[in-house]
This record gives sequence, C-alpha cells and structure tokens, in this order.
Amino acid sequence: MRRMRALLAGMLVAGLWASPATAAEPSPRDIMEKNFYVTKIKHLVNDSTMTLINDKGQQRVRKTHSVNLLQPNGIDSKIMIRFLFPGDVEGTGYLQVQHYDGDDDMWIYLPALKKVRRLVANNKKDSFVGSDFSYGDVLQPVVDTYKHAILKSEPLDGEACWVIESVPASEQIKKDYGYAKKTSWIRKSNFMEKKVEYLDTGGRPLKTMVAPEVVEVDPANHKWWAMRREVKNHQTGHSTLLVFEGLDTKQPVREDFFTTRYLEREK
Amino acid sequence: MLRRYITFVVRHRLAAILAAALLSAFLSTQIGNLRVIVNPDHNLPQEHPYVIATNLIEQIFGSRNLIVIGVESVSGDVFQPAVLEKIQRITDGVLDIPGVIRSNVISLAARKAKNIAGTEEGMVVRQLMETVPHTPGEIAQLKKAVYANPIYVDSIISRNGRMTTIIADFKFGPELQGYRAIKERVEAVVDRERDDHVRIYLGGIAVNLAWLEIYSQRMQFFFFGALAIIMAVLYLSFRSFQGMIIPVLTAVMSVIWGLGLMGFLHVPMDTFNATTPVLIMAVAAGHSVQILKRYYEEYGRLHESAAAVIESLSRIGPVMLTAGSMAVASFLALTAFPTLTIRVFGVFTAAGILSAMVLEMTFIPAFRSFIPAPKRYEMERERLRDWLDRFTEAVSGAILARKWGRVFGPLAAAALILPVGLNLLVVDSSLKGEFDPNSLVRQDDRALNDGMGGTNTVFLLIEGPGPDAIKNPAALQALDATQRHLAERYSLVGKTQSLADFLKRMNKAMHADDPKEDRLPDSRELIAQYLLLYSMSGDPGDFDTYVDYEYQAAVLWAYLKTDSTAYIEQIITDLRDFLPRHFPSDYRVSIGGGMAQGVALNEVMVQGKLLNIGSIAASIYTISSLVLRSPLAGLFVVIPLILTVLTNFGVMGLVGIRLDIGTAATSAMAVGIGADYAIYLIYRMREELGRHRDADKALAVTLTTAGKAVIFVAMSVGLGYSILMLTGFRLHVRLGFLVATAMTVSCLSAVALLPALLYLGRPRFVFGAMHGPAAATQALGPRQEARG
Repeated sequence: MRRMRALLAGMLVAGLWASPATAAEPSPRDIMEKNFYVTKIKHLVNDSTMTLINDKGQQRVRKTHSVNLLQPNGIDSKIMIRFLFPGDVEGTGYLQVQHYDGDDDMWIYLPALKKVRRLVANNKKDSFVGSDFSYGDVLQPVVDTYKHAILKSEPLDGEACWVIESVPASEQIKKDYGYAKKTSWIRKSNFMEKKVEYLDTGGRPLKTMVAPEVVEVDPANHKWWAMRREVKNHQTGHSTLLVFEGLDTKQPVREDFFTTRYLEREK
Repeated sequence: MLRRYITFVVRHRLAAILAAALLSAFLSTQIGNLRVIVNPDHNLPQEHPYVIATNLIEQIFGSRNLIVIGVESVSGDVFQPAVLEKIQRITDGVLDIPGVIRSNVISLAARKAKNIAGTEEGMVVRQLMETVPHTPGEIAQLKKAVYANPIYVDSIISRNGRMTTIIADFKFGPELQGYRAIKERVEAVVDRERDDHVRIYLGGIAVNLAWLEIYSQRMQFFFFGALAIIMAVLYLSFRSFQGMIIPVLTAVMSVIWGLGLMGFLHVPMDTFNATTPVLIMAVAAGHSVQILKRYYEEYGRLHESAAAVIESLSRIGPVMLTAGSMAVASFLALTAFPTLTIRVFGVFTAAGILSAMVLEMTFIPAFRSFIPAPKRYEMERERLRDWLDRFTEAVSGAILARKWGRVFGPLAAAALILPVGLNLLVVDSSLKGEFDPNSLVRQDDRALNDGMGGTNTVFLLIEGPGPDAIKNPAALQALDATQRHLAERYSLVGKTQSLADFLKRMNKAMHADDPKEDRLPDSRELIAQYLLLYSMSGDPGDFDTYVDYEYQAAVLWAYLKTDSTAYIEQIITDLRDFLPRHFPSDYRVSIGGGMAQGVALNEVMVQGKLLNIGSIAASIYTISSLVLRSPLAGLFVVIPLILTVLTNFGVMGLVGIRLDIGTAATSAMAVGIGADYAIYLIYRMREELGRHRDADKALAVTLTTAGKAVIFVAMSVGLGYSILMLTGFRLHVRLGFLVATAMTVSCLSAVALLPALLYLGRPRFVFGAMHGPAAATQALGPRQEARG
C-alpha cells in the first residue's frame, strides 16, 4: 500500500515537472504539491543552530549536525541528528526513519547512560524537540491532507506570492495536526513558502512561520532550501529560530549509516 | 481678620454658594473615573524580602491569578466517564476564556498533564488523558497512569480519587478585567456541569480576591445607609430640617470633593478605601454640627441670622481650623506606612477633611445666612432638654461634687481588664480570615483543603550562580531533601512539588519502572540528557512553573492545609536553619508565596503600627502644644487618645479580633478624630472661664455646649460606621465595631475624663484665662473687638 502511494506520488511529481509551463495560473493543489517536493533533497548534510526563546527573552541554544537521506518514495527521509552543544548533551544522538503514512521510527542515544532507547512515536501536533515546530511541520503531510484554495496573489517584501488557504480534509486530520487552517504565502518564482500563518483547532491565531532566505541547493533538480526559519507562537510568546550552515547536497550518504549501531558512536 | 473674612463671605453669600456648587458639579463628574479595584500588591510591604521573592517568582513562573476548580464525585471516585467528561468540558471551557494562560492550565484533561511512563525500551511521555476513556480497561489504565506520577497526587487528584482539580492562571487584558471577571467567566463554565453526581468548589487567590471586590462594591449601598443614620442623629440633635440639612450637605459635598479629587488624580479605590467615604462623611457632618450648635447659641443671643453666623464662626473657626489641621496632619502621617493602600487611605482622608474645612469656611456661612433664620419653634425645640443634657449635667455634677469614684472608677476598671486584652491580642493577616466561616468562599476552601494538598502556598525560590545551575545534582538533591523534610516534619504540609519530582520519575521510567531507581540521577550530563529526551515528546512549557528557561532558578512549591501565620512562621524559622546546610553555598534560597507574604505583613504591621500611632500622637502633641502655647497642653490632649488606643487594642484582644491590615488603621483613625474632641473641650473651657471667671460655672457650660456637641459628633461617626457591621464581610464588620467602640471611648474620655483632669489639675493654659483678660483676648481672638 505504502509503495503504491509512493509510486503514485512519484508519477505525479514526474508528470508535473514534465508538463510545459502553461500561461494559465496553476491550480492551488499544483502549487502546494510543488511546494511539497521543492525541498525533497536526495542527500543533505548540514549543521544547524536552533535558538529557543521564551516570552521573557530567555534563550536555549542547541547546535546539531544532521545527515538526511531521501527514501525512494520521494517523501520520507532517514535522519541522523547529533547534538554538539550545549556540552552536557554533546554526543546525544537521534535517529528518525519517517513514514508519511504511519508512525515514524525513532531512537535516541544518551551518552551519560550509554544506551540507545527507542522513542514511542509522537503525535503530529507535538512539539519537535522543544521547539515551536511540530513533528507535523517537520515532515509535512502529503498535499491532499488539506484542501487548498488561492485567496489572492500579492507581493510580500517585494516577492510575488500566491496566498493559499489550506483547511484539513477531515476532522481527524484537524485533530491530529492541531490546525484549523493554514495560510501560506508561496513564492511564484520557486514555490518555496515565504510565510505561513496557523490557526489552532479553535480558530485562534496560533503561530506564524517565516522563511526569509532561500537558496537553490540543487539547480539540476530545482531543489531549494530555507537557510533560516523563524516561528513564533502567539499564544505562549515562545519563538524558535533555526539557522542552517554548511549545507552539502553532493556528499553521498550511505543507507547503512542510519542504524542504531552508528547511533552509539557518539559522533 | 477671620471675622472680616467671614463678613465678606456672608456679604457675597450667593457667589460663595454658586462657587461651591460649581466645584461640586465639576468634581462629581470626576467620580466617573473612579474604579474599585483589588490589587493585593497595594496591601503588601514591597521592600520585604518575602514580598520581593514572591514578585520575582510570579514574574518568572506565573501563577499570579490562580483559580482552583475542585470537582468531587458524590459516589465513587472521579474515574467514571460522566465525571471525566465534565473535567474535559471544564478544561476546554476554561481554555476558551480570554486571558487564560493556556500553557498554565493543568487538570487530568490538560495537555500539560503528562504521563511519564517506563517501558522495556525506554521512556514514553504522553498526555494523561487525550480523550475520555470509556471501557473499564481504559479507565483502569488512566487511573494507573495518574497514580504512577506522584507529582499529580494531592495536586490534581486526591489520594482517595474522590476529588480532582482544574487549575488555571489568567492574565488581565482588555477582555478580562478584575478578579470578578475571572470568577464570573469560570462560573459560567462550571455551572453547566453542576448536578447530583458532583460537587464543585472554587478556590485560589483569584476567587478570594473576587469576593473581596464584590464586598467592596457593596459599600456604595452601605454608604447611603450610613448617610441615613447620620441624618437621623442630626435630626435628633437639632429637631429641625434646617439643622439636619446643612451638615448633610456639607458631608455629602466633602465626600464628593474627596472622591472627585481621587478620580481627578486617577487614584483607584480599593477594598480598604471603599469605607473611607463613610469616614469623611461622618467627620464633615461632625464639624458642621459643632458650627451649627454654636450658631444656634449665638442666634438665641443676637436674634439676627447673619450676625449669628459671623459671631459663631469667628468664635469656633480657629478651633475648627486647629482641630481640622491636626486631623489632616495625622492622616497625612499615614503616608509613612510601607503599604500603598494605607498611604492612599491617608491622603484620601486628608483630602476629604481638608474639603470639609474649606466648606466650613465658605459654604456653611454662606448657606446658613442665605436660608431663612430658624423659626421660634425650631429654636425652642433645639434647646429642649434631653437625655444628653441630663447626662452632661450628671458628669459635671459628679466632677463638681468631687465624686471621683464615679469619674475615675470606670478608668480603674479598664486599667484592670485592658492588660488582659492586650496580652490576648493576636497579629495575623489572613485574607481568608476576612470572610465569614459560613460564607461560600470559606466552605469551598475547606472542602479543597480537605480533599487536596492544601490551598495555602509557600514557596522557595532557588537561584543558582549561572545558567544551567539547577542541573547540578547537588542542588537537585537539596531540593529533594527539603521536600522530604517538609513532608515528614509538618503534617499540615499537604503537598510539595519541584523539578526533582519529574527527574526522579524520568530516572525510574528509563530503568523500566524499577522502584529502586526512583531517585535523582547523579551526573549533570544525565540530568541534561533526560531533560532533552523529555523535550522530544513533551511541550516546551511543561516545566515552566518549576524551573526558569535557562535553568538558573527553580521553585519548590509547598501547599499547606492551614493559613495560620504562626504555623508558617515556625516552618520559616526551621527552614532558615535547614536550607544553608543543604544547598551549595553559591545558591541563594528565598522564601515567598501567599503565606509568607502574610508573615511579612505581620512583621511590618506590628512595627509599622506602633511607629505610626507614635508619629500621629507626636504630631498631635506638638501641634496642640504650639497652639495652646504650653507643653502641658499637648499632654492633656494626648491622654484621652492614648486611652482610646489602648482600649481599642484591649477590646480587640478580649473579643478575639486580630490586628491586621484592616484593623490596623482603626486606631490611627480614632486618634485622628478623637483629637478634635479634646481641642473643642479645651477651647470652650478656656472661653467660658474668661467669660464667667468661675471654674464650676465654666465647666458646667462647657459640658452642656461643647461636650454635648462632641457627643453628637461621636454618635454620627460611630453610628454611621456601625452600619458596616451589617455588611457580612468581616473586614468591614470589624471596622464598624472598632470605630464605634473607639468613638464611645474617645468621646467619654473627652467629655468626662478630660474635664475632670482639667478641673483637678487647673493647668495655666486653660485656667490662665480666668485671671487675666490679656490671655483670653489673645487666645480667643477678636471677641473684644466684636463687642466694641
């Protein structure tokens, strides 16, 4: 089943890129689908700094090194994250094998305990490692999880954007992901989102994410990456700043790297 | 000079009335700006270390406007779908209230209530109850999960499972103003769930303060009640409409001026000051009575209204101004008090009395000369002998007949009883104690205290030397040791919570729930890694109420089943010894919380109160000595006041009224008002001695004129205040009772004790008037000139 869907998704992508650009405005679903695949990069190695800031301006900074490998279905990835900073969590490792249509597999290695522990899958709406991103934000759901509509076209900070409103396709999806609505400003030039506003299940403003800087990391395949993402929770006043450095999409990443045996290596 | 001024006012009476009316109209528009608010900070000494710690904790960790909703199952425990659904709905309803701090809402159904569970593979962090369980198996699982996390036992679930709580914190904003709004919003959510299956209780600081707000707002009705009583006393005193209306107008205008001034200056009204208009009204009416009584005397002699106005005011004016300035000075002296409420009270009362003084010197003479002169029958009725005449005659009779037993007997009796009362006087500041034991707020509080860990909080703020200091195992061990110490040693400490509880639970979970591992990890790295691990499934704000974001400061919460400050003082003394022995030396531990603030208030109260009364007495002594030009004179004025204050405290001790924020200022008030009486008496006595040159005659006349007026003033203040005894709110009931008592004592000591002392001691500053006209003329001002 999983494979079937992946195949279907793959065909869709292929189809999309193959079709010549038409003068007509793309459909909102097309736009969101392109947005979904534009960041699916085969090999990705990077360092990132995550700064968590609470409503009083107090900060927690975490630096990590991460390695990603896109799975053949073109949607899921295998991710290995190693904590570099602060010192008391240095060497802590995190391995995630994503399954867009089911529960992810996750393991953590705690050097102080010298043990790998399996983590039970989280809800999509739960916070990702104490940040304002949810697990559902990190691994975006496939395009038809939401129903999309173009509200308007408007420039945002000088960039032409479509403004797309997305509502959950079912009550269950709304509950699982925790959003009643998402409004996205999608760049017309590259399909990367520039800003997303989220409403909670009660329809109250929940958070706003902005991705001001994007770079084309793989021009051959038209893949882009946001070097900086900021998300602010309007209800808690908490915000998260995620900054990437040292992006490498060329370095091949081996499949067998993503095992608990490698997780225990502490580096 | 004064005579010339009053003649001027009488001549331009219409303009004076108009000016007073216009000013009243303007100031009454300013009353609209007044708001009755309850700001607990106003009552607290902000420089006290406990208060500083509490403010800091509230700033970092929240929990300022906490409300506790207790849901008790009538039969069986709360783990049944019908009850759990109520918990879910109440939690959702509370989350929808504007101003709620969503991340600080905790209940079985709250997102923040996480189950930290151990499995063979590691640790799982999950919301306790995402959806209400229905099958027996699911319910049993939930119950097991709840009790496997000791942090929730006695905080959101009772030990026997019969009661559970929903605790929420609120932030004020345009959509949520005042504690009353919080209470009403929460009630709207909760009332839908009340039925035969559950009992629901509301508690927490926000509820207590909401009740305080409600009782304060009821004061406006009691104000009119007090006005009615004062009108009745005035009618009794003058037996005519004219006699009643002038003091009432003066009183109401003084209140309007005082309130308008408060509104104009945007000084908010609070609980304590809600009773202040009654005080101003009573004092202003009292002053007005003094002037009017004198007017009737002079009118009877001169038979010409305008002349009588000029005569009476130029005679009594200096006395009024002296007494008024003394009252203003003594109320302004309250600005030295370390709590804002009392400072505001001082300024407000001073402004009101000052307004009354201005009105006495402008509006009263203008209005009295404007309205028709009293008719003959009114004059006769005013002079009718009544029980008061018989009383004052009896007093002067006793003094003149040197029946000292009758005069000093009650004093001797008081001297025997009062020390007992003074010994029994308890200093205690409990907000809950202000409510009647049978009131809803107290009943709910008792139920919550019985079911859960306790509704009275004390907390310890632990500040480490830098970020991540709280992850130091030594600091966490000390936290844990303190929690165990409190729980083992004090039976009324029903619950303690800190970050250590969570770390112990995590350690146990990571070791497959092995009971031996229910302990703190001993390496800093492991602690940090557990916290990181927790963050992989928990929410960023889960520990916000226990540790600050940078792990530099932590809080230990202790919940007590009692609000006795004596009990908490004992704990604090013990902790002062315990804490330094357990925490590393570079960690600072401070004590705060509702209970500790009560202790702070007590400390300040005893100190501040004595200081305060001392300062008022000193200023009265100084002013009266200066005005009467004799160091002895001040003593004669202060003696009745000291007696009043001692009686006040003694009576409080005897009837079991605690010395607290509300009762503290009563004695200051009694002193401020009581000083008037002595001044009236002394001035009148001096005047009469100068006129009759006969001590016996002077004494008798003084008592039937000024003495009688003093009794009327005391009656209007005392009876006006006594209406507060009907409010049902203990703070106001006690205030009403104590002011009434203080007025009785200060009036009796001014009317009986003071004349007796003067008659016995024959001090020169009074009796000098009998011998030389020079002294009398000088002191009494322009009387000679008037006659000439």
